Order: sequence, then C-alpha cells, then structure tokens
Amino acid sequence: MASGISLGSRFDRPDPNGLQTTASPSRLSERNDTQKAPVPKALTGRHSRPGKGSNGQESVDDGLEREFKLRHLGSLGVLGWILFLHIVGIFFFTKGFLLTRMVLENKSSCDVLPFGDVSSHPAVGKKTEACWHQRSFEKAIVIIVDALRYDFTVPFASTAEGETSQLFHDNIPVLYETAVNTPENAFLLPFIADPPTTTLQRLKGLTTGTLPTFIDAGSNFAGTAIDEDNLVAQLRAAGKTLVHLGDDTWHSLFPDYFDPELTRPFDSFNVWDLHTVDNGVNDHLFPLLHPENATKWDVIFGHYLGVDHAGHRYGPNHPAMGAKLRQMDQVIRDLITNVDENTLLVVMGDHGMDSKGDHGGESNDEVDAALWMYSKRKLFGRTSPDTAVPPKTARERSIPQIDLVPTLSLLLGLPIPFNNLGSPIEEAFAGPGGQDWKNLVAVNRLTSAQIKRYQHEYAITRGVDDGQEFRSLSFWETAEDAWQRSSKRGKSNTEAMRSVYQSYREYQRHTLDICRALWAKFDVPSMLQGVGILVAGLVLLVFYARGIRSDRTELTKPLLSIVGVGSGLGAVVGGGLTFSGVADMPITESSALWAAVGSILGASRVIFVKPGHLSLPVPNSLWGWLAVMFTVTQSVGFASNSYTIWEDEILLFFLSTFGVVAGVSSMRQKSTADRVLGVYHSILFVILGRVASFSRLCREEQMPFCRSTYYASATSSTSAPWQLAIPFLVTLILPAVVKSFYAGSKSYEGVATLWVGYGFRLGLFLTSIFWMLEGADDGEWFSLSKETLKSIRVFLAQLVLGLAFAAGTTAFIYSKPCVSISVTQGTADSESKNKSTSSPSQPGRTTVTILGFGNIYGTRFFLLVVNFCLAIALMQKPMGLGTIGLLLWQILSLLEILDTNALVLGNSAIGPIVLALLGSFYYFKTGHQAVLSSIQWETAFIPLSSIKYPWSPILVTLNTFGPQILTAVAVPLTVLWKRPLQLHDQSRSTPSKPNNPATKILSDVVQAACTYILYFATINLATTIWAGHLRRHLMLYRIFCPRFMMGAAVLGIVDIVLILFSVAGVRWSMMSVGEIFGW
Amino acid sequence: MSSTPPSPSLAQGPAAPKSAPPIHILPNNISKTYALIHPVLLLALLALRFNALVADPVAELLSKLPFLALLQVAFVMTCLPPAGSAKDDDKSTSANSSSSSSNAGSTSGVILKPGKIGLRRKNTPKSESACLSAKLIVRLLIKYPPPSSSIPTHPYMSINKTPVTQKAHPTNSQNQKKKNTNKKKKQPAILSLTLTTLLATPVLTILLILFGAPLTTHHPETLLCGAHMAVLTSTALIYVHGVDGSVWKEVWGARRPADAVWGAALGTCVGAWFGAVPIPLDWDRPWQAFPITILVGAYIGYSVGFGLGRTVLFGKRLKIEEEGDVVEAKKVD
Repeated sequence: MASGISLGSRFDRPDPNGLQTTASPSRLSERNDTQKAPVPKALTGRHSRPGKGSNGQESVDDGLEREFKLRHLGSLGVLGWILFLHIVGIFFFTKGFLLTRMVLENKSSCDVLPFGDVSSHPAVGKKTEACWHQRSFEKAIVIIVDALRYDFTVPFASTAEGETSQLFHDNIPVLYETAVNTPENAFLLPFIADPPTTTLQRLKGLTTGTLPTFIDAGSNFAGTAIDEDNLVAQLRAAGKTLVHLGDDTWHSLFPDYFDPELTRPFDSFNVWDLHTVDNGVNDHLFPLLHPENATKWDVIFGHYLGVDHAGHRYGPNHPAMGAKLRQMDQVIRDLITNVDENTLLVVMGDHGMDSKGDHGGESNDEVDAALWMYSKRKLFGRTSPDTAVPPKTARERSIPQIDLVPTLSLLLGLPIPFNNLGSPIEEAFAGPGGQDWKNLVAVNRLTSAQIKRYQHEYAITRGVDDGQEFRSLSFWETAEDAWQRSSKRGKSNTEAMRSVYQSYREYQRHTLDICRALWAKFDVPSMLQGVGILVAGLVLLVFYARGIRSDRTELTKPLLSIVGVGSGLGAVVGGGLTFSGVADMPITESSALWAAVGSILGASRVIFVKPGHLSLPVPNSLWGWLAVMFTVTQSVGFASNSYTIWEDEILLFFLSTFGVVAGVSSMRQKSTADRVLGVYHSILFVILGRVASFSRLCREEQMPFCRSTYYASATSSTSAPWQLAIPFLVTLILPAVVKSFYAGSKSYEGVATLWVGYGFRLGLFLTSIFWMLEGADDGEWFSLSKETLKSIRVFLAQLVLGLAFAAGTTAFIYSKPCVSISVTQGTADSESKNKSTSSPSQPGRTTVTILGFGNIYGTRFFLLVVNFCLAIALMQKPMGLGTIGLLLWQILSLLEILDTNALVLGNSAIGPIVLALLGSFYYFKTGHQAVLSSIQWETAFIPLSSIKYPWSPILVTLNTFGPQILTAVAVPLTVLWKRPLQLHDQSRSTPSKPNNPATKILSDVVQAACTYILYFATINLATTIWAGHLRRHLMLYRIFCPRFMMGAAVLGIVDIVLILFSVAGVRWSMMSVGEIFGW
Repeated sequence: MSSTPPSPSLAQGPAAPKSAPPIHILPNNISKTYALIHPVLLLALLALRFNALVADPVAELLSKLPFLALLQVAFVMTCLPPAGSAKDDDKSTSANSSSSSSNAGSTSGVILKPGKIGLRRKNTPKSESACLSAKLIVRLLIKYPPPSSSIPTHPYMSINKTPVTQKAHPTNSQNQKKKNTNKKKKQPAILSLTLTTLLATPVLTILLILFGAPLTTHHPETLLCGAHMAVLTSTALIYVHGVDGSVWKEVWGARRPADAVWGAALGTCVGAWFGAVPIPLDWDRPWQAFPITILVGAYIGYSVGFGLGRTVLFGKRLKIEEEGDVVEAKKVD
C-alpha cells in the first residue's frame, strides 16, 4: 500500500543505470501523473522543439520561479517572526530570573565610624595613624595566582584508598612550609569562592566584599567598571600609589585607579599561552622590590595566569602544570626574601579548577582556592592548637573569599568598604601569641557595625523595615550587650572576650547566610511575561507546524501582514504605556513586549479563525506518537535533577528506541529492497549511536557512575596520542561513506565527485594534520618552536574554514544538481517505447540517460551539510571530530530509514524530531555537558591567535553547539531526500493560476523546520518553567539554571541557523534543479 | 475466546494475507486454569525473591533461571498447542484453530490504537538470517523435520468448517491421543529451549547493550537479564510457531495478531523499556541497580501483555504507519 509513495525514490535501485527515460516511461507516468517527462530543460531546448509553447513554457517557468522566490522569502519572514517571539520570551524571563542585587553607592570614609558611640572606640584618639583601626602595614603586595586550588598547596594526603599523588601535587610547598615552620609569619587557609567562579566575578567579590549575582556570569568577555565601594577605591582615596601587573581584567573593573607608569596589563584570554603573562609580571615586579624603588609604590596587585591557562589547556594532571606550579613556588620564595618588614605579602587563588582544569561552576574543586599571608614581622597567631597546621583539605576550616576585604582594609588602616559582608580573618588579628582577644573583638565589632549599617541602608533603599528581611538583628543586639557588659567590667578576661568575639562572628556569618538567600530574589511578573510569550509562541508553532493541512506558503502573506500590523500596533501601545507612565519599564522593552503580544494575537486570528485548513495536531500514527513522546517525556524529565544530569543516556535510549521501531517498521515493508535497506540502516543507526556514546565527558554529578573518555584522562583536557588517529580515520572513512550514500541513488555525479571526493577529503586531511601538530606541540615531539607550530596550525585551520565556507558556499550556490545526463542515439528497439522523452515532433530518436535522478533534491542540498560538517569537525577536539563523523553517518542513515519507511513524503514529525534528538545527543558526545565549565573556550584559538570580535564567539559557538547546528542544516533533507522530481503540470493548471510543485516542497521544508524548532522550543519552555518553578531549589545554579541557559541558547541558535542557512539554502538547491529541469 | 473481534468489513489493513492465526489457550480445564495462574505465579515468585534479587542479582538470577525455564516449559506444554499440531491434528483439534483462523482471517486489519501499547522495545529485525540459522541449528541438533512442512501455513484450509465456540469444543479426541500428543509436545519444547538459549538470549543481550547497558562492566548482569527476557518472550513463541518464516517475519515486524503468546512477548519488551525509567533517579535505593528494574518491568509487562493479549486485545494488530499514507497510496494505486 505504501509502496506507491515510495516508488519514486526506488527508481534508481531496480535500474542499475539510473533513470533511462526511454526505458521506463510507464513507471514514470505511474508515479508522477505529470505529462511532462523530466527531461532536462536545457536538452529540450537544444533539441529544437519547434513552436508550440516553447516561449510559453519559458514564461510559465519564469513565473513559477518568481513565485517560488517570493514565497521562499516570505517563509524566512515567518521563521524570523518565530525567532522574534523566542527572543522576547527568553529575554523577559531572564530579566526576572537571573538574580540582581541592588548596588548601593554609599562609600565608607575615615571620618565616619560605623557606630554611633564614637567615644567607646579605642582607635579614635589616634586619628593621625589610621582610620578605623590601628594600621599594621604600610605597604602590601597582593599576588593572585589564577586558579590556585587549595590541594595544590598542601602536601598530598590520599583520601580514597589507592589514590596516588598526581602531577599537580606537592609542587608549590613554600606556602605550607612557611605556615607550619613560622606560624607567626605566615598562615595558609582554604579560601572558598562564591560561584560563578570566573575571574571577573571573583575580582568583584575580592575587592567589594559582596556576593555575586548570576546576571554577571556572562560578562567575562567584557567587564565593566565597579561602581560600588571597594578596596581599590579605598586605597586610592587614602592616597596610596597602586600598581597592577598581569591580567587585564583589572583594568576593565578599575579603570584609571592604577599608576599608569608602573602598571603593566596583559591580555588574559589567550589560554594557549602559558608564559607571556607570568614572565611579564616577574619582569616588572621584582625591580619594584629594590630598596631604591620602595617609595614609588604602596600596593602592588600582581595577577599570574599561567596556572589557569595550564589548567585550561592541559588539565591539572600534566607536566606543564607541575612546572608552572614550581615556577610559582620560586616566585614566592623570591618575594619572601625581597619584601621588607612593613610590607604585607598576600598570595591567593581567585578560584580553583575542576578535574579537567576548567572553572565557572560551583563544584567543590572549582570553588576551593588557597589564601596565604606572610609578614616579616611576627604578627599572626593561632587561637587554638587545633588550628596550628593548615587544614588537610579545603573542606575544613575554610573561609569565604570576601573575608579578605575587611582583613586587608583593617591591616592597612583603611575603612571597610561599605558593602562588605566578610569577616576579619582570625589568624591575622589574633596576635603572635594567639591570645589578643581585645584586638579580635575590636575588629569584629567594627566589621559587624559596618555590616549593620549596610543592612540598614539596604533596607531603606528597598523601602522595607530592617528587621523584616534581615532577621539577624537579634544576633547584633546580643553581641552588643555582651560587649557592653564586658567593657563595663573594665578589666577584660579572656573567656568573656572570647564569647563576645564569638557572638560578633555569629552575627556576621548569619547575615551573610541571609544575604545569600535574599539575593535570590526573583522578579516573578517579568518571568511570567516571558513564560506567557513562550507558551503562546509554542501553541502557535504547534498548529502552524503540525495542524495546517493546506500549503503553508499560501498562508505566509496574510500571516506576515497581520503579524506586521499587530506588532506595529503593539509597539506603539507599549511605547505609549511607558510614555504615559503606566508601565514601569524602558521604552524598548515595553514596545518589544507589546509587539510580541500584538503579533501573537494577529497570528492567532490568521491561523485559527480561517476554517477548513486546520486540523487538530494530534498524531495519526505510531511515528507521530513516538515524536511527541520523545519530546514531552524529556521535557517533563527536566523537572528532576537526575534526568537532567543523565540527559545523554536518556537521549541514547530514545535514539535506540527509534532505531528499533524503524527496524520493525522496515520489516513490514512490501518491497524487498525497502525491507533489506530499511533493516540494514536501522541496525546501522542504532549501532552508530551506541558507538558514539563511548565518547563521554562526565559532569561532576554523574560520578562515580561515569568514566570520561573525551580527553586523555579524567584530569586532563588534552587528547591522548591514540585519539590523534581518529581524525585520520575519519578522513579515510567519512568521504567514502558519503559517497556510498550518493552512489546508492547513482547521484555520485557532477559536483559531488569533486566536492565530496576531493574538497571534503582534503579539508578533513588538513584538520587531521592540524590536530597532529597540536598534539606535537603539547607533547613537544618536534624541535620546531612553539610560534612556528602555532602559525602553521592557524594557517591550516583558516584554510579549512575557507574551504568549508568560502569555497563550499560558492560551490553550493553555483553548482548544478548531482546528476549526469547523457544523450545517445536510440536504437530501434527503444524507440518503440519512447514516448515520453522526446518531444512530439521527434518521435524517439534519442535516449536521454539521467543518472542520479531519484535523489535530485536531496543530494544537491546535502552539499551544504557537508560544508558545515567540515567546519564543525575542525572546531572539535579529535574525539569530537570522530563523533561528528558518526553524526553525519547517522544523519544519512536516518534519511534512508525515512525513505524506506515512506516517511519523506508523509511529512512525518519523526524525521525532524529524531534529527533534533541526534543534535542534542551529540552535544554531549563532543565533550560538553549542560554546565558552564564545559565550554571549550580555547577552541576560539584554533583558527586565530588572539581574540577577534565577532569571530571568537562564533567559533566557540560552532564548537559548543556544532551538532545542533549540523542537524539544523540537515533538516530540509527530511523532506527532500529521494523525493521524486515534481514539476509543473501544464495540463492541470489553469492559465490564471498555475500549480507550482516547488511551493509544495517549500511548504514541506517549512513544516520540517518548524517541527525541528518545536522540539527545541518545547525543551526550552520546559527548562524555563522548571528553572522558574524550582528557583529555590538547592541545585538551581548547579543543574537547572545551566540547563535553562543552554536550552535558550540552543533555541536561538537553531532558529538563526534555520533562517540563514538551511531554509535559505533550499532556494539555491531548488533553483539549480529548476534551471535544468524546469519548474 | 468469546471476544470475537469486530466485523470483517473493518478488516484487511495492510496486513499480509498469509498470516498464522492468533493462538488460543488449549480448550481444556487444566490449561485454562493454569493459564490464569501462570502469570500470577511468575509475579509472585518475583515478589517473593525480590529481596534476594536486590541483595545479589547475579546469583539470584542465575539460580532462578532454570526454574523460570521449567515454569515456562510447563506452561507451554500445558496450555499451548505445539508447533505443527494444527496440521497433524487437523481433523480433531483444528476446529479450535479453525475458529481462530477464521477470526484471524477476518480480523487482521483491526487496528490497535497506537500509543496505547507503544511499540518501544522490540526484537531486532534480523529475521531472514535468524530464521535461516534457526532452521540450520534445528536440523543439525535435533533432526527435526524441515519446519516448513510441519507448520500450518494458511488458515484457510479449514475455512469451510463451521466456527465453533470454544466451550462447545470437544476435547475427547485429544484425550484419545494423549500419549501421541505428549510426544509431539516434547520436541517443540526442547526446540524452544534450545533456540531461546542459542538465539534469543544473545539477541536480547545485544539489544540491552544497544539501549545503553554497560559494555565493559556488568557482563553477568546483562547476560542474565537477556536470558530471563529471552525465556519470557521466546519460549512460547517458538513452541507454538516453530521456525515458521512467515510467522517470524510477522514477529520481527511486530504485526502478529495479539494473543497470549505475542502479547506476553511484546509486553515483556515494553515492560523492560519502562523498567529503565527509574534507574537514573537519585533515590539511592539498592533496587535501582542496573538489571533489577528492567527485569521487574519485564515480568510485569509479561503478565499484563499476557492478560491483555488473551482478552481485550485479542486478534488486534499493532499499527505503525500513518493513516494518511494509506489513503495516498491507494490513490496512486
């Protein structure tokens, strides 16, 4: 029964020579109903078909072509509108969801103490010496060793049985040694960062003493100046000369704060470069320590990046990391010998790194940094023998990073920055004997008072009572009472002071906890606006993609015009609302919101009100139900952290399910060829997916049930030597695989031989060489210098990208369809049957043989997929390159399955949905997870040697979302693969309105594209709703928020790729076919 | 069974014309009673041994496998007609099969609503090669006569007989031939066990791995899980159908008309599919370990499929294709 449909695509198989129009005219008419045989237009012209309608045909063709182009543009417009809805919805949700904290502009100053009763404070009398508290140091050197994880600095102690020391252990012993041997001169503590653990966010925390909010997480590429009160500003206000050396992030945060003559900023994003920044800092730091330069500066901030870059590039367990840490060890030893007594030396990490050397998230490894303070004078102390030795792991006795702010401020005799929430570090104020409780109480009272002042101001600004939001005031009162009592008693006894100290500490920590919770404050109305628009957009998309039974392209014009009117009106209304003061938001936001609402209302009118062409979008087959089931169950599953964590396994499960059902369905096919091919490709599909699943990069939550294979080891981010063979294997196999699929329909003709056989193969080969050199660089196999290797690599990578995009696009736009047409003089035998090829005036003289006719649309369009595949393969690490090869193979296999099961012409939802599943699945197979730290930033340097906008973000996108992009490009193939040639039917059409098969194809393509979007839009909506709903969940930032951000990003990218490349590409594909065969 | 499916006018979907009829439980009291007990018995056993299964899956699965196989063999020999019985007992027992065959002939097109019982996990379609090798093994191992000759090939041979309801169906002829029948039952039983071990177990194990079961670890678990599923699905199928290529083609294509045997087989696979659902959850329960939930799903699926196949779904077929296609295809034809 179904065979009738798929007959067309079967064309090539029974006939080994491809289509000989002479040989099978009967089948032709049976299949196509068209009178006009698919004889190349060019040929018919050449064969001098006289008179009758040749000109007419031309003009009809022109008209059809114009119509197609017009409707094609219209379809792009509709997709653009869908993109607009998605962007507006996501924007409004994000605005309310990503947390914001009110920034108070207040500054602390020397003259104003944080508490009212000035007389009670001991420091007041000696105003000349210091501000709030006795100054301990005149000068300071603050060294930040980026990503200095705590366990780098302490001796290796195996926690689990059989654990052996790794290359990063025991390379920087100086910190531990000094803290143990000379506890009065130095101490070492775990220093816990507040996530997100990106350098920019950390610097904000380390200087202002406040908690970060998530909204800044993305601004690592372009930092903005801090306008809150902060340590650097206080130093500046105190007239100190500040010098900064190293990471240039400081300059975006603190523009014009540093002494311009001595300061040396360095580019921070070239993670391939381990040494330039560090050597630069050393070259400029040590001369300043000479006694003759001592007066030139007061505080130096030195920021080393080598450890961080070694982590990003190699992962922690690599000799380069060991070497880097040893270098840092030496630097610190040199500093110790060179500093004078009046200078405080601080060394710290701003965050840690995960097991692969990346950071950004909130796993333990990422937040565990180290803090070490050193002074030539005996100043530091321990209050108890338990704390004499630095903790073995970062889980014990850790302090939050914001504690640095009050500590440094008070040690240097500065006011504590207004917004600070940190506490003074005990070891720094306990005195050499560890019993200076008076000092400890004094600094903690100051800090607590400042925190209370901040609380008060914050509450006033928000317009609420102090007590309401900060339920910690009772702790303050308790502490103050105890303090009053002990000071009245005059002579302080240790126990009493200790308890006063404890109660101040309690107040500080309690307030910190409250603030952590409080700044998870969401703007729920804005979130609901966003969700509302996303829901409405999804409903419209469901009906547009699956409900409309008529030609979608006919709907384009009314839809677009009413959407235009609706959004225009909406924009005006929104603008008006803002203008009249009704809506409390910026005019652009208000206009965008109301424009979206207006366009939704208008579009609903077009889609729902017109009767007849709409049916309920309920699946009518197991395939349809399967598609719905895949999408909906996954969306529901995102409510659970487990199903979010194990998304990769679930996708494999779904893909295998599809493969098995496809195999079963193939067994039902009548035609033996369909059955055998279908079963073969189903088995192939399942096996390829399972093979790809061996490439994994585990997220922390998957442990211990997961083993990473993406890199050489779980603690590295370089490829193992054997993995370098993968690109060569891909070079060898993949073009041959593509060729075999082309050859299956005799389509390995024309441009395909050139492009697949040579272009694609060459590109893959160059990519293999690229990764070979990369491995050589990492392992130092060659004696070539690093610079030479790097420039060769950059050249190769740019060549491949040029091949893929410049040459590839040209080839795609201008090439002819992948067919070979030959004309031979027919024999007498064939003449008798020859009725459809030749024109009526020439009854059968020639035989026109067209090879590759059965898959004319598909093979032509697939060239675009090949181009993207090449570019995306280049951007992946060797293991990812292998999986991209498997992805391409699986896409082809899927297309064959769709064809043999008669799903190409049926517009089944399953094709695009399975493509979407494949895209999502391979996202995880190319070394990514739904966490920020899995972004492979370093891939921006594959074809470039420095950051260049806008290319670097695009390159990282190609790496991160490559699989989804590749499958998005392949979407039109689900309705084009082996689709029989459909041409304008002269006999049926009326002259006034000729039927145009091209628009039918276009409508199917748009349907497939919308179905593909539907999957990602559903996932995006689900993750959005869950993230919003679970906004107080413990795992919000670890699991739900990253998944929401990923869903939103993928949706936007998929929309854009569909508009710009895949649906757009159909235009050239169709026109190239139309040029040869007519319309 | 009493639930005779709807009128023939609805019938004739895209099904193949030469399909073996759905299988009835043998119409004697013992068979009918035991057929009710058997799935309950399996579930009870599972429930009884559940704690042991959680404690040590491999040992428990291994020690339980022979019992399961024994139970299944006992069940098929008690309740089901062996392969080839229809032809040999044409005159006596085929009235039974005739009623079912005529049913099948007329009801093959009744459509099982998709989505109700999803077709999710299924034997890999390897029918051609599997059948060939099966035939080969059969001939080599137990010198069974070439199966094509011993299998009832088409239901129409007794179409002229008046359909008899099951209750009225006489069973005395069977009693007369009891010894003969017993012998006839042994051979298919041995055959079914052999093939279950040699073919179904590897196929299901491979399927488990393809669906994400660990490849490098947990080998005994996966293999035993596959073996249990194989015993559940294949024993009865092979016992009643032998190695009839046309039937197995239908099995691979999941287009058998529903009966107790096919329902149970499909139910086992679907149940195992659903059994994977709780594994990723972070409840940290010991029963979430790899093969346990899948096996429990398979057992429950077996019983449910068994029950549904005998009763409400009897004779219906699973449908995959889009309805729209049928219409279009007709137009083209």
